[in-house]
Amino acid sequence: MASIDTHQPALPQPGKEKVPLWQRYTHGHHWRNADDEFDGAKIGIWLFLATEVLLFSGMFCAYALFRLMYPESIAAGSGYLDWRWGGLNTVVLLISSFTIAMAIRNVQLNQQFWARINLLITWLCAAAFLVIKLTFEYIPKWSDGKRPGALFDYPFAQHAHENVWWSIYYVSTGIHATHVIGGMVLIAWLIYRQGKGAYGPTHYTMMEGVGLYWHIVDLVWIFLFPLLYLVH
Amino acid sequence: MSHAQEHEYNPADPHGFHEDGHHGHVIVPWQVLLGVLLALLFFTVLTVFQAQFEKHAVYQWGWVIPGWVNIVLAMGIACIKGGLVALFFMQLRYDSGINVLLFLFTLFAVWLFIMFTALDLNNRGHITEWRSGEVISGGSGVGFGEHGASKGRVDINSAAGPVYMRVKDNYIAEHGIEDYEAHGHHDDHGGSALSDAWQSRSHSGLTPGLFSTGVWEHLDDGHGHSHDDHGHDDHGDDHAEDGEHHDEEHANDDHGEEEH
Repeated sequence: MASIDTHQPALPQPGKEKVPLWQRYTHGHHWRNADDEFDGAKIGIWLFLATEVLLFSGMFCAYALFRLMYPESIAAGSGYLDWRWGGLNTVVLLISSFTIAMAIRNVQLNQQFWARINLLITWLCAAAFLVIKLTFEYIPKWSDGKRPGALFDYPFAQHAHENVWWSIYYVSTGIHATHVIGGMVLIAWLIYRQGKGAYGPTHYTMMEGVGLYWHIVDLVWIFLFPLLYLVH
Repeated sequence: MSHAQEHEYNPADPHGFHEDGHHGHVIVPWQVLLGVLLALLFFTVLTVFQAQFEKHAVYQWGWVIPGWVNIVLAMGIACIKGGLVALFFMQLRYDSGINVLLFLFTLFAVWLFIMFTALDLNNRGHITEWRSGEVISGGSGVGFGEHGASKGRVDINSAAGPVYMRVKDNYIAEHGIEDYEAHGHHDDHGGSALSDAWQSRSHSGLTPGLFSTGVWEHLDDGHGHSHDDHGHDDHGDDHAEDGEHHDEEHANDDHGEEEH
Protein backbone atom coordinates (compact mmCIF):
# COMPACT_ATOMS: atom_id res chain seq x y z
CA MET A 1 0.00 0.00 0.00
CA ALA A 2 1.44 3.30 -1.04
CA SER A 3 1.82 5.69 1.80
CA ILE A 4 3.42 9.04 2.19
CA ASP A 5 5.38 10.77 4.88
CA THR A 6 3.12 13.38 6.37
CA HIS A 7 5.92 14.73 8.48
CA GLN A 8 6.32 18.18 7.01
CA PRO A 9 7.79 21.29 8.51
CA ALA A 10 4.38 22.92 8.61
CA LEU A 11 5.65 26.26 9.83
CA PRO A 12 4.13 29.56 8.84
CA GLN A 13 6.37 31.38 6.43
CA PRO A 14 4.91 34.85 6.12
CA GLY A 15 7.60 36.15 3.81
CA LYS A 16 7.11 33.56 1.07
CA GLU A 17 3.88 34.07 -0.81
CA LYS A 18 4.45 31.06 -3.03
CA VAL A 19 4.13 28.58 -0.21
CA PRO A 20 0.60 27.18 -0.65
CA LEU A 21 -1.99 27.41 2.07
CA TRP A 22 -1.87 23.71 2.89
CA GLN A 23 1.84 23.90 3.66
CA ARG A 24 1.37 26.89 5.90
CA TYR A 25 -1.36 25.14 7.88
CA THR A 26 -0.50 24.39 11.48
CA HIS A 27 -2.59 22.09 13.60
CA GLY A 28 -4.49 23.40 16.61
CA HIS A 29 -2.26 23.96 19.62
CA HIS A 30 -4.32 21.54 21.69
CA TRP A 31 -3.31 18.66 19.45
CA ARG A 32 0.12 17.14 19.74
CA ASN A 33 0.43 16.75 16.00
CA ALA A 34 -1.48 17.05 12.74
CA ASP A 35 -2.23 13.34 12.63
CA ASP A 36 -4.03 13.38 15.95
CA GLU A 37 -6.03 16.35 14.76
CA PHE A 38 -6.92 14.48 11.57
CA ASP A 39 -7.92 11.33 13.44
CA GLY A 40 -10.00 13.31 15.92
CA ALA A 41 -11.82 15.10 13.12
CA LYS A 42 -12.42 11.80 11.40
CA ILE A 43 -13.99 10.22 14.48
CA GLY A 44 -16.22 13.27 14.69
CA ILE A 45 -17.33 12.77 11.10
CA TRP A 46 -17.98 9.09 11.72
CA LEU A 47 -20.12 9.95 14.74
CA PHE A 48 -22.08 12.31 12.53
CA LEU A 49 -22.44 9.60 9.89
CA ALA A 50 -23.77 7.28 12.60
CA THR A 51 -26.56 9.76 13.31
CA GLU A 52 -27.21 9.96 9.58
CA VAL A 53 -27.62 6.20 9.34
CA LEU A 54 -29.99 6.30 12.29
CA LEU A 55 -31.99 9.10 10.65
CA PHE A 56 -32.47 7.05 7.51
CA SER A 57 -33.08 3.89 9.49
CA GLY A 58 -36.34 5.45 10.64
CA MET A 59 -37.44 5.53 7.03
CA PHE A 60 -36.18 2.02 6.34
CA CYS A 61 -38.07 0.85 9.41
CA ALA A 62 -41.29 2.46 8.18
CA TYR A 63 -40.70 0.94 4.76
CA ALA A 64 -40.17 -2.55 6.16
CA LEU A 65 -43.30 -2.45 8.26
CA PHE A 66 -45.57 -0.99 5.61
CA ARG A 67 -44.26 -3.45 3.04
CA LEU A 68 -45.06 -6.30 5.40
CA MET A 69 -48.47 -4.89 6.23
CA TYR A 70 -49.60 -3.67 2.80
CA PRO A 71 -47.44 -5.52 0.27
CA GLU A 72 -49.84 -4.99 -2.61
CA SER A 73 -50.03 -1.25 -2.18
CA ILE A 74 -46.24 -0.99 -1.93
CA ALA A 75 -45.79 -3.14 -5.02
CA ALA A 76 -48.40 -1.14 -6.92
CA GLY A 77 -46.82 2.15 -5.86
CA SER A 78 -43.38 0.96 -6.88
CA GLY A 79 -44.86 0.01 -10.23
CA TYR A 80 -45.48 3.69 -10.95
CA LEU A 81 -41.76 4.38 -10.80
CA ASP A 82 -39.53 3.82 -13.80
CA TRP A 83 -36.44 1.83 -12.83
CA ARG A 84 -34.54 3.44 -15.70
CA TRP A 85 -34.54 6.85 -14.02
CA GLY A 86 -33.66 5.31 -10.68
CA GLY A 87 -30.94 3.24 -12.32
CA LEU A 88 -29.53 6.27 -14.12
CA ASN A 89 -29.45 8.18 -10.84
CA THR A 90 -27.69 5.23 -9.19
CA VAL A 91 -25.00 5.30 -11.87
CA VAL A 92 -24.65 9.08 -11.53
CA LEU A 93 -24.17 8.82 -7.76
CA LEU A 94 -21.74 5.91 -8.03
CA ILE A 95 -19.59 7.87 -10.46
CA SER A 96 -19.64 10.90 -8.18
CA SER A 97 -18.57 8.72 -5.27
CA PHE A 98 -15.67 7.46 -7.35
CA THR A 99 -14.60 10.94 -8.44
CA ILE A 100 -14.57 12.37 -4.93
CA ALA A 101 -12.48 9.42 -3.75
CA MET A 102 -10.15 10.15 -6.67
CA ALA A 103 -10.08 13.86 -5.74
CA ILE A 104 -8.89 12.97 -2.24
CA ARG A 105 -6.23 10.74 -3.71
CA ASN A 106 -5.16 13.56 -6.05
CA VAL A 107 -4.85 15.97 -3.14
CA GLN A 108 -2.81 13.44 -1.16
CA LEU A 109 -0.42 13.31 -4.10
CA ASN A 110 -0.58 17.08 -4.65
CA GLN A 111 -2.11 16.69 -8.12
CA GLN A 112 -4.07 19.89 -7.77
CA PHE A 113 -5.33 20.06 -11.37
CA TRP A 114 -6.85 16.60 -11.32
CA ALA A 115 -8.26 17.16 -7.87
CA ARG A 116 -10.12 20.15 -9.28
CA ILE A 117 -11.42 18.19 -12.28
CA ASN A 118 -12.66 15.37 -10.06
CA LEU A 119 -14.35 17.76 -7.63
CA LEU A 120 -16.10 19.50 -10.52
CA ILE A 121 -17.34 16.18 -11.92
CA THR A 122 -18.62 15.26 -8.46
CA TRP A 123 -20.55 18.50 -8.21
CA LEU A 124 -22.00 18.12 -11.69
CA CYS A 125 -23.11 14.57 -10.91
CA ALA A 126 -24.89 15.81 -7.78
CA ALA A 127 -26.64 18.46 -9.85
CA ALA A 128 -27.58 15.90 -12.51
CA PHE A 129 -29.05 13.66 -9.82
CA LEU A 130 -31.33 16.43 -8.61
CA VAL A 131 -32.34 17.50 -12.11
CA ILE A 132 -33.30 13.94 -13.04
CA LYS A 133 -35.17 13.50 -9.78
CA LEU A 134 -37.15 16.71 -10.16
CA THR A 135 -37.82 16.69 -13.88
CA PHE A 136 -38.69 13.07 -14.42
CA GLU A 137 -39.95 11.98 -11.05
CA TYR A 138 -41.11 14.53 -8.51
CA ILE A 139 -42.84 16.99 -10.85
CA PRO A 140 -44.74 14.53 -13.09
CA LYS A 141 -45.73 12.34 -10.14
CA TRP A 142 -46.86 15.23 -8.02
CA SER A 143 -48.89 16.83 -10.81
CA ASP A 144 -50.49 13.43 -11.48
CA GLY A 145 -51.91 13.53 -7.98
CA LYS A 146 -49.52 10.85 -6.72
CA ARG A 147 -48.90 12.60 -3.44
CA PRO A 148 -48.26 11.56 0.15
CA GLY A 149 -50.92 10.92 2.75
CA ALA A 150 -53.93 13.23 2.77
CA LEU A 151 -52.55 15.14 -0.22
CA PHE A 152 -53.17 12.06 -2.37
CA ASP A 153 -55.20 13.02 -5.44
CA TYR A 154 -54.77 10.20 -7.95
CA PRO A 155 -58.17 8.83 -8.92
CA PHE A 156 -56.99 5.57 -10.51
CA ALA A 157 -55.45 4.02 -7.43
CA GLN A 158 -55.88 0.27 -7.29
CA HIS A 159 -55.07 -0.24 -3.63
CA ALA A 160 -56.13 1.40 -0.42
CA HIS A 161 -52.69 2.27 0.87
CA GLU A 162 -51.11 3.78 -2.20
CA ASN A 163 -50.98 7.14 -0.44
CA VAL A 164 -48.95 5.48 2.31
CA TRP A 165 -46.53 4.32 -0.35
CA TRP A 166 -46.17 7.88 -1.66
CA SER A 167 -45.56 9.11 1.87
CA ILE A 168 -42.67 6.68 2.21
CA TYR A 169 -41.41 7.54 -1.26
CA TYR A 170 -41.45 11.32 -0.88
CA VAL A 171 -40.10 11.44 2.65
CA SER A 172 -37.26 8.97 2.14
CA THR A 173 -36.14 10.33 -1.24
CA GLY A 174 -36.82 13.86 0.00
CA ILE A 175 -34.50 13.47 2.98
CA HIS A 176 -31.96 11.94 0.65
CA ALA A 177 -32.31 14.76 -1.92
CA THR A 178 -31.87 17.28 0.89
CA HIS A 179 -28.59 15.57 1.68
CA VAL A 180 -27.58 15.82 -1.96
CA ILE A 181 -28.25 19.57 -1.85
CA GLY A 182 -26.18 19.83 1.33
CA GLY A 183 -23.43 17.85 -0.38
CA MET A 184 -23.47 20.23 -3.33
CA VAL A 185 -22.94 23.19 -1.00
CA LEU A 186 -20.05 21.40 0.73
CA ILE A 187 -18.44 20.31 -2.54
CA ALA A 188 -18.75 23.84 -3.91
CA TRP A 189 -16.94 25.01 -0.79
CA LEU A 190 -14.24 22.41 -1.41
CA ILE A 191 -13.82 23.61 -4.99
CA TYR A 192 -13.48 27.20 -3.79
CA ARG A 193 -10.97 26.37 -1.08
CA GLN A 194 -9.05 24.00 -3.29
CA GLY A 195 -8.63 26.83 -5.78
CA LYS A 196 -6.99 28.81 -2.98
CA GLY A 197 -4.55 25.97 -2.47
CA ALA A 198 -5.96 24.99 0.91
CA TYR A 199 -5.58 21.23 0.50
CA GLY A 200 -2.43 19.22 0.02
CA PRO A 201 -0.64 16.07 1.17
CA THR A 202 -0.27 17.20 4.79
CA HIS A 203 -3.66 18.82 5.18
CA TYR A 204 -6.88 17.66 3.59
CA THR A 205 -9.12 17.05 6.61
CA MET A 206 -12.04 18.97 5.14
CA MET A 207 -11.92 16.96 1.92
CA GLU A 208 -11.78 13.69 3.80
CA GLY A 209 -14.81 14.67 5.87
CA VAL A 210 -16.92 15.83 2.95
CA GLY A 211 -15.85 12.73 1.03
CA LEU A 212 -17.09 10.45 3.81
CA TYR A 213 -20.37 12.37 3.95
CA TRP A 214 -20.80 12.07 0.22
CA HIS A 215 -20.17 8.33 0.33
CA ILE A 216 -22.88 7.85 2.94
CA VAL A 217 -25.31 9.72 0.69
CA ASP A 218 -24.38 7.25 -2.03
CA LEU A 219 -24.66 4.34 0.40
CA VAL A 220 -28.22 5.30 1.35
CA TRP A 221 -29.24 5.54 -2.29
CA ILE A 222 -27.76 2.09 -2.95
CA PHE A 223 -30.41 0.74 -0.57
CA LEU A 224 -33.21 3.08 -1.55
CA PHE A 225 -32.94 2.20 -5.24
CA PRO A 226 -33.90 -1.49 -5.10
CA LEU A 227 -36.36 -0.92 -2.28
CA LEU A 228 -38.28 1.76 -4.14
CA TYR A 229 -37.81 0.89 -7.81
CA LEU A 230 -37.36 -2.86 -8.02
CA VAL A 231 -40.24 -4.11 -5.90
CA HIS A 232 -42.78 -6.24 -7.68
CA MET B 1 0.92 1.61 13.68
CA SER B 2 4.21 0.04 14.60
CA HIS B 3 6.17 3.26 14.71
CA ALA B 4 5.57 3.61 18.42
CA GLN B 5 7.78 0.65 19.18
CA GLU B 6 10.50 1.86 16.89
CA HIS B 7 11.17 4.94 18.98
CA GLU B 8 13.20 4.64 22.08
CA TYR B 9 11.78 5.54 25.44
CA ASN B 10 12.35 9.15 26.31
CA PRO B 11 12.01 9.89 30.05
CA ALA B 12 11.45 13.58 29.33
CA ASP B 13 8.52 12.74 27.11
CA PRO B 14 7.11 9.42 28.29
CA HIS B 15 3.97 9.59 26.18
CA GLY B 16 5.73 10.65 23.05
CA PHE B 17 3.74 13.85 22.85
CA HIS B 18 6.40 15.64 20.89
CA GLU B 19 7.02 12.98 18.38
CA ASP B 20 5.33 13.40 15.09
CA GLY B 21 3.22 10.31 14.96
CA HIS B 22 2.89 9.95 11.25
CA HIS B 23 0.88 6.85 10.63
CA GLY B 24 1.29 7.41 6.93
CA HIS B 25 -2.19 8.13 5.65
CA VAL B 26 -3.35 5.53 3.24
CA ILE B 27 -3.51 6.53 -0.37
CA VAL B 28 -5.81 4.08 -2.09
CA PRO B 29 -4.43 3.12 -5.52
CA TRP B 30 -6.54 4.39 -8.38
CA GLN B 31 -6.77 0.88 -9.78
CA VAL B 32 -8.58 -0.19 -6.63
CA LEU B 33 -10.97 2.78 -6.78
CA LEU B 34 -11.74 2.19 -10.45
CA GLY B 35 -12.19 -1.53 -9.85
CA VAL B 36 -14.66 -0.79 -7.05
CA LEU B 37 -16.58 1.60 -9.30
CA LEU B 38 -16.81 -1.04 -12.04
CA ALA B 39 -17.93 -3.65 -9.52
CA LEU B 40 -20.60 -1.27 -8.23
CA LEU B 41 -21.87 -0.63 -11.75
CA PHE B 42 -21.89 -4.35 -12.41
CA PHE B 43 -23.96 -5.03 -9.31
CA THR B 44 -26.34 -2.24 -10.27
CA VAL B 45 -26.94 -3.91 -13.61
CA LEU B 46 -27.25 -7.24 -11.85
CA THR B 47 -29.91 -6.08 -9.41
CA VAL B 48 -31.98 -4.53 -12.20
CA PHE B 49 -31.56 -7.68 -14.27
CA GLN B 50 -32.60 -9.83 -11.34
CA ALA B 51 -35.80 -7.83 -10.86
CA GLN B 52 -36.65 -7.81 -14.57
CA PHE B 53 -35.84 -11.47 -14.97
CA GLU B 54 -38.02 -12.37 -12.04
CA LYS B 55 -40.96 -10.49 -13.53
CA HIS B 56 -40.40 -12.02 -16.94
CA ALA B 57 -40.09 -15.53 -15.56
CA VAL B 58 -43.36 -15.21 -13.70
CA TYR B 59 -45.48 -13.63 -16.40
CA GLN B 60 -44.02 -15.20 -19.50
CA TRP B 61 -42.91 -18.57 -18.30
CA GLY B 62 -45.27 -19.01 -15.38
CA TRP B 63 -42.59 -19.69 -12.82
CA VAL B 64 -43.63 -19.77 -9.21
CA ILE B 65 -41.25 -17.65 -7.17
CA PRO B 66 -41.93 -17.02 -3.48
CA GLY B 67 -42.20 -13.38 -2.51
CA TRP B 68 -39.18 -13.29 -0.22
CA VAL B 69 -36.82 -14.10 -3.11
CA ASN B 70 -37.29 -10.59 -4.49
CA ILE B 71 -36.37 -8.78 -1.28
CA VAL B 72 -33.60 -11.16 -0.22
CA LEU B 73 -31.80 -10.98 -3.57
CA ALA B 74 -32.23 -7.22 -3.88
CA MET B 75 -30.99 -6.58 -0.34
CA GLY B 76 -28.18 -9.10 -0.72
CA ILE B 77 -26.83 -7.28 -3.75
CA ALA B 78 -27.34 -3.91 -2.03
CA CYS B 79 -25.36 -5.15 0.98
CA ILE B 80 -22.47 -6.18 -1.26
CA LYS B 81 -22.51 -2.77 -2.92
CA GLY B 82 -22.76 -0.98 0.42
CA GLY B 83 -19.87 -3.07 1.74
CA LEU B 84 -17.71 -2.11 -1.23
CA VAL B 85 -18.45 1.59 -0.71
CA ALA B 86 -17.77 1.41 3.03
CA LEU B 87 -14.61 -0.68 2.73
CA PHE B 88 -12.88 1.07 -0.15
CA PHE B 89 -14.44 4.45 -0.88
CA MET B 90 -14.86 5.22 2.80
CA GLN B 91 -11.60 3.41 3.51
CA LEU B 92 -12.89 1.43 6.46
CA ARG B 93 -10.62 -1.36 5.29
CA TYR B 94 -7.61 0.81 6.06
CA ASP B 95 -9.08 2.80 8.91
CA SER B 96 -8.61 2.58 12.65
CA GLY B 97 -10.79 0.08 14.45
CA ILE B 98 -12.76 2.68 16.38
CA ASN B 99 -14.45 3.97 13.23
CA VAL B 100 -15.35 0.46 12.12
CA LEU B 101 -16.76 -0.24 15.55
CA LEU B 102 -18.83 2.94 15.42
CA PHE B 103 -20.30 1.95 12.09
CA LEU B 104 -21.06 -1.61 13.12
CA PHE B 105 -22.72 -0.45 16.31
CA THR B 106 -24.92 1.88 14.28
CA LEU B 107 -25.98 -0.99 12.05
CA PHE B 108 -26.77 -2.99 15.18
CA ALA B 109 -29.03 -0.14 16.33
CA VAL B 110 -30.79 -0.13 12.97
CA TRP B 111 -31.44 -3.84 13.32
CA LEU B 112 -32.84 -3.26 16.82
CA PHE B 113 -35.22 -0.58 15.56
CA ILE B 114 -36.66 -2.69 12.78
CA MET B 115 -36.76 -5.91 14.76
CA PHE B 116 -38.54 -4.51 17.80
CA THR B 117 -40.98 -2.50 15.75
CA ALA B 118 -41.87 -5.57 13.74
CA LEU B 119 -42.35 -7.77 16.81
CA ASP B 120 -46.10 -7.26 17.02
CA LEU B 121 -46.76 -7.41 13.29
CA ASN B 122 -48.61 -10.69 13.53
CA ASN B 123 -50.96 -9.39 16.18
CA ARG B 124 -51.92 -6.14 14.51
CA GLY B 125 -54.62 -7.89 12.59
CA HIS B 126 -56.48 -8.56 15.84
CA ILE B 127 -56.36 -4.91 16.79
CA THR B 128 -57.57 -3.87 13.36
CA GLU B 129 -60.38 -6.36 13.65
CA TRP B 130 -61.32 -5.13 17.08
CA ARG B 131 -61.37 -1.52 15.94
CA SER B 132 -62.74 -2.26 12.52
CA GLY B 133 -65.38 0.43 12.88
CA GLU B 134 -62.76 3.12 13.34
CA VAL B 135 -59.87 2.12 11.12
CA ILE B 136 -59.92 3.55 7.61
CA SER B 137 -57.56 1.95 5.15
CA GLY B 138 -54.97 4.36 3.90
CA GLY B 139 -56.29 7.08 6.17
CA SER B 140 -59.23 9.41 5.69
CA GLY B 141 -57.31 12.61 5.10
CA VAL B 142 -60.15 14.42 6.80
CA GLY B 143 -59.27 17.69 8.41
CA PHE B 144 -56.14 18.18 6.40
CA GLY B 145 -57.35 21.10 4.34
CA GLU B 146 -58.33 21.99 0.82
CA HIS B 147 -55.93 19.60 -0.86
CA GLY B 148 -56.11 16.37 -2.69
CA ALA B 149 -58.68 14.01 -1.31
CA SER B 150 -60.13 16.56 1.07
CA LYS B 151 -60.92 18.94 -1.77
CA GLY B 152 -64.42 20.30 -1.54
CA ARG B 153 -66.17 17.78 0.59
CA VAL B 154 -64.89 17.65 4.12
CA ASP B 155 -67.30 16.57 6.77
CA ILE B 156 -65.53 15.56 9.92
CA ASN B 157 -68.63 14.09 11.48
CA SER B 158 -69.46 11.71 8.69
CA ALA B 159 -67.50 8.60 7.87
CA ALA B 160 -65.41 10.16 5.18
CA GLY B 161 -64.12 6.91 3.76
CA PRO B 162 -60.57 6.18 2.67
CA VAL B 163 -58.61 8.78 0.74
CA TYR B 164 -58.24 6.77 -2.42
CA MET B 165 -61.98 6.19 -2.74
CA ARG B 166 -62.88 9.84 -2.24
CA VAL B 167 -60.30 10.91 -4.80
CA LYS B 168 -61.89 8.54 -7.26
CA ASP B 169 -65.39 9.83 -6.42
CA ASN B 170 -64.26 13.41 -6.86
CA TYR B 171 -62.83 12.57 -10.24
CA ILE B 172 -65.98 10.83 -11.41
CA ALA B 173 -68.13 13.68 -10.15
CA GLU B 174 -65.99 16.12 -12.06
CA HIS B 175 -65.25 14.28 -15.31
CA GLY B 176 -67.95 11.69 -15.57
CA ILE B 177 -67.81 7.92 -15.42
CA GLU B 178 -66.88 7.43 -19.07
CA ASP B 179 -63.75 9.48 -18.66
CA TYR B 180 -62.79 7.45 -15.62
CA GLU B 181 -63.36 4.19 -17.44
CA ALA B 182 -61.20 5.35 -20.30
CA HIS B 183 -58.30 5.98 -17.94
CA GLY B 184 -58.97 3.27 -15.49
CA HIS B 185 -57.65 0.24 -17.32
CA HIS B 186 -53.95 0.51 -17.41
CA ASP B 187 -53.00 -2.70 -15.77
CA ASP B 188 -50.37 -4.01 -18.09
CA HIS B 189 -48.81 -6.63 -15.93
CA GLY B 190 -46.53 -8.07 -18.51
CA GLY B 191 -44.56 -4.87 -18.48
CA SER B 192 -45.49 -4.34 -22.10
CA ALA B 193 -46.08 -0.63 -21.71
CA LEU B 194 -43.51 0.87 -19.41
CA SER B 195 -43.94 4.00 -17.40
CA ASP B 196 -42.32 7.04 -18.84
CA ALA B 197 -41.53 10.39 -17.33
CA TRP B 198 -44.93 11.91 -17.96
CA GLN B 199 -47.26 9.01 -17.47
CA SER B 200 -46.42 6.43 -14.90
CA ARG B 201 -48.37 3.21 -14.94
CA SER B 202 -48.38 0.59 -12.33
CA HIS B 203 -47.36 -2.82 -13.53
CA SER B 204 -47.21 -4.60 -10.29
CA GLY B 205 -48.70 -7.54 -8.54
CA LEU B 206 -45.91 -10.06 -8.61
CA THR B 207 -45.22 -10.57 -4.94
CA PRO B 208 -48.15 -9.45 -2.84
CA GLY B 209 -46.81 -10.88 0.39
CA LEU B 210 -43.42 -12.05 1.51
CA PHE B 211 -44.74 -15.43 2.48
CA SER B 212 -47.83 -15.50 0.37
CA THR B 213 -48.40 -17.50 -2.74
CA GLY B 214 -51.93 -16.24 -3.19
CA VAL B 215 -51.11 -14.21 -6.27
CA TRP B 216 -50.28 -17.23 -8.34
CA GLU B 217 -53.83 -18.47 -8.14
CA HIS B 218 -54.91 -15.48 -10.17
CA LEU B 219 -52.33 -15.89 -12.89
CA ASP B 220 -54.52 -18.28 -14.83
CA ASP B 221 -57.09 -15.70 -15.76
CA GLY B 222 -54.42 -13.61 -17.35
CA HIS B 223 -54.66 -10.77 -14.90
CA GLY B 224 -51.96 -11.34 -12.40
CA HIS B 225 -53.56 -9.84 -9.36
CA SER B 226 -56.80 -10.11 -7.61
CA HIS B 227 -57.79 -6.49 -7.43
CA ASP B 228 -58.82 -6.20 -11.03
CA ASP B 229 -61.96 -8.06 -10.26
CA HIS B 230 -63.60 -5.16 -8.53
CA GLY B 231 -63.08 -1.46 -8.65
CA HIS B 232 -64.21 -0.96 -12.21
CA ASP B 233 -67.64 -2.45 -12.08
CA ASP B 234 -69.19 -1.00 -9.00
CA HIS B 235 -68.83 2.73 -8.91
CA GLY B 236 -72.45 3.59 -8.70
CA ASP B 237 -73.97 6.47 -6.82
CA ASP B 238 -73.67 5.02 -3.35
CA HIS B 239 -70.06 5.95 -2.88
CA ALA B 240 -70.02 5.91 0.88
CA GLU B 241 -71.18 2.32 0.99
CA ASP B 242 -68.89 1.46 -1.85
CA GLY B 243 -65.97 2.85 0.09
CA GLU B 244 -66.70 0.85 3.18
CA HIS B 245 -67.08 -2.24 1.13
CA HIS B 246 -63.65 -1.80 -0.38
CA ASP B 247 -62.24 -0.91 2.96
CA GLU B 248 -63.25 -4.22 4.46
CA GLU B 249 -62.06 -6.17 1.52
CA HIS B 250 -58.63 -4.62 1.63
CA ALA B 251 -58.39 -4.98 5.35
CA ASN B 252 -59.18 -8.65 4.99
CA ASP B 253 -56.69 -9.10 2.20
CA ASP B 254 -53.90 -7.48 4.13
CA HIS B 255 -54.76 -9.36 7.24
CA GLY B 256 -54.89 -12.64 5.41
CA GLU B 257 -51.47 -12.18 3.91
CA GLU B 258 -49.88 -11.38 7.19
CA GLU B 259 -50.87 -14.69 8.61
CA HIS B 260 -49.22 -16.80 5.98
